[in-house]
Order: sequence, then structure tokens, then C-alpha cells
Amino acid sequence: MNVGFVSRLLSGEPVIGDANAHRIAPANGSVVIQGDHYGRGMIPRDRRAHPKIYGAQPFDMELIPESEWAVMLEQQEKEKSSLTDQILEAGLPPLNQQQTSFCWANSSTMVAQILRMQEGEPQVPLSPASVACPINGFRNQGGWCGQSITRIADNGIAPQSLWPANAIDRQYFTDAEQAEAAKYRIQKWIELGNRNFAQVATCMLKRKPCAVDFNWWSHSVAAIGLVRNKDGTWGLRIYNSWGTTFGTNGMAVLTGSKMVPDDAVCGEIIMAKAA
Amino acid sequence: MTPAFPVKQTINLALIALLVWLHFGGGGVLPLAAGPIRVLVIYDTVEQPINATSVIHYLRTHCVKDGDTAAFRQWAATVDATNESPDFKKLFALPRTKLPWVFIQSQSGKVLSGPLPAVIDDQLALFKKWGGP
Repeated sequence: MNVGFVSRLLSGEPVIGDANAHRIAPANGSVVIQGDHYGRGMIPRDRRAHPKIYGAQPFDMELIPESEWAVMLEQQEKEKSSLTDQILEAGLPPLNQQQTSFCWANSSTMVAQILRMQEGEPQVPLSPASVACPINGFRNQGGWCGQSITRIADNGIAPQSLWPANAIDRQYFTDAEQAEAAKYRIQKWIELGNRNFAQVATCMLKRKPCAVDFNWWSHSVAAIGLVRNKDGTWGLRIYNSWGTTFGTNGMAVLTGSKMVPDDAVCGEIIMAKAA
Repeated sequence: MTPAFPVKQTINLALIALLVWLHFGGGGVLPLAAGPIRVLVIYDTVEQPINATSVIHYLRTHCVKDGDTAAFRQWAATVDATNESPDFKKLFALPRTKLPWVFIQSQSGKVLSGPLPAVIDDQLALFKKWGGP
């Protein structure tokens, strides 16, 4: 079957679909999907308690019809102008949550770092722990991406120079840290519909990073690109928070039912902040 | 007989007008000397206008450096730039009539101001005109 345009994958990039989701062996041979060596920590959002994400804009972009996805994606890959291309060009490294249960803060923090990259701001490694700890009372507990992005919008994120990425420790929660974190606030973000892949795809084609929660994985990651598979179906490129040993430098492609997030927020504007 | 507009005074006035015109970038059409530049692009929130890595790479390598970072920014028109450098805040405050809009500042401080082309090749051509090959 000729499906026309097919995306180019990164070298050795794993494709995680319905058939192989529980044992993915990347180039280095380790099983990565279960997070044997890394934490996860996404707790599904209680939609009765939180029907809306506080402060989020509703999805107001014009939805790009699926019939146009392949043409747009082919053009972006040809021009090397996709969000993935931009991340690779900038050399923005993945986060590494190590053994913490803070994936849900890492995904939103990565969105913030990508937005800064797109604005041309200096690369400042930001601390997911500075987002998660005040929410969870400095306990190593899970959460969902809407919680973390709301915290980032209200209070910002501390640079890792003031609060190490995975440090669960009150000593870093100081007035000086909070003053600096407030300079790294997301100004505008959008709540996407529950399990609405068309909205996610539109964000990807408009090069807007999303934090995405997957109930099947109990994990939250950053979504950074749409992918056209060999069989004509679609995939979602993710940027995980398990360091560079996961996938290809932290990136992988989810397909089938595995690519549809149960919860998602799209970052749009972050405060401009020079070094 | 004394002329109504003495020649010397007229020449002086013309020179002053020329200097003022030059100082404000010659209405956006005066060629700047090609060299390291500072670039600010302003857009509405729908989509960032500079996305091609060829253009981004050019700007990263041809803009002046603020510390380790190239002096290239692209901001939504509603961005909070309170914590940015004075150089970019000055450009952000300059008038613009539509979006996306670009300000290109030479090292001498002259500013080119105008609408940003939509096509990648035109964007590159514009930046190369002021930032060099």
C-alpha cells in the first residue's frame, strides 16, 4: 500500500505501539517503557473535583483537518522547521527525573524550557522539583500536568542553580528562590480536550509544545511532534524525562491507542527573561 | 539684496534633516553596514513566524552575543518582557503597524523596522542583507 509521505525517524528511535508497549528495547538493549530505573508518578486527574484547569485558556485554535496533516508535516520536515527540528538544532537536552515521582512536573517544565528556546531566550535549566515540592508538601508524590502548569503560571520555576532538579528539600524554598522563580512564569497555556488527538496534532503542527498525561503509562511527558507512520497512521513524538538513555536522546514515538493522552495542556507564551 | 532663505542656512537645515533621517534608520530603507545584528520579531499568538532551522541557525551565528546567547528573540506581542535586557525592551517599545514585525539593529544602533516576510528564503535574504553572508 502506498501511503505517500512517511516521516523520517531519528536514528534508533523506538516506536511504542499497542503491540509492544510493555517491552521496548532501544539500541542499548534496556527495557525502557516500565521505567525500571526511573520514576514516573502521573496520577490521573479527578475530573469531578477539577473539571477545568484553573487559569487555562480553552482550546481556541482553528483545528487543522486530518486531511491536511500529511502535507503540512511533509513541508515542515522538508524545511527542517518542525518543533523536533528546532529542539535538535538548539541542543536542548532532556530532563531526568531519576527516582522521583515528578514526571508531571518534568513535562510542564520541559514545555517551559521549549517555549524559552522558541523565544530565543538563553538556555537556563529549570527545576521540576521547585514546581512539585510546594504542591505536594515536599513529599515524593505524583500528580498531573494541569497541577504543575498552574503552579508555573502562578509562581514560576526556579533555575536549577538555585534548586537542584530533583531535590526534595525545604532548604531551597527561600524568598530569593521564589523571587527568581517568578521571572520564569508561563503567561498563556491552553487546556486540551480529554483524549482529543486532533487538538494535540494541531498543536504539534503549529509547533506548540504540550505536556501530556497517559493513564496507561502512569506517566507524563512532553509532546514535541506529529509523525506519519509507514502504514499511513499517525504517531506522537515525545520528549521523556528519563535522561538521554531513553529512546533517542530522550525522544520516542507513541502510536495507536498509546499516543492519545488522557490529559494535555499546551504552552503558548512564557515571560521573556534574559540571563 | 538678501535672499529670503540664505543658502548657508538652507544647507544647514538640509544636513540636520539628513542626520535625523539617518538616526532613525532612514525610514527603514537605508542600507546598514552588514555585520553582527540584534533581531527582535514580534508576532500574534497564533504561530511563531520564524521556524526554519536554517533561519534560526543563521541568527544564532550572526547576531551579537549577550553573554553566551545570540541577540535574537521572537516574542508574542503580549509577552511580559519586564526581565529582559534594556536593548530588547527598547526595540519592543518601538512603534509597529502590523504583525509579524521585525526590528533589526546594527551595532551602530541604527534600526531597520518593517513587516517580516513570510517565506523562508525572503527571511534569510533580509537578515543576510543586514547581517552579512
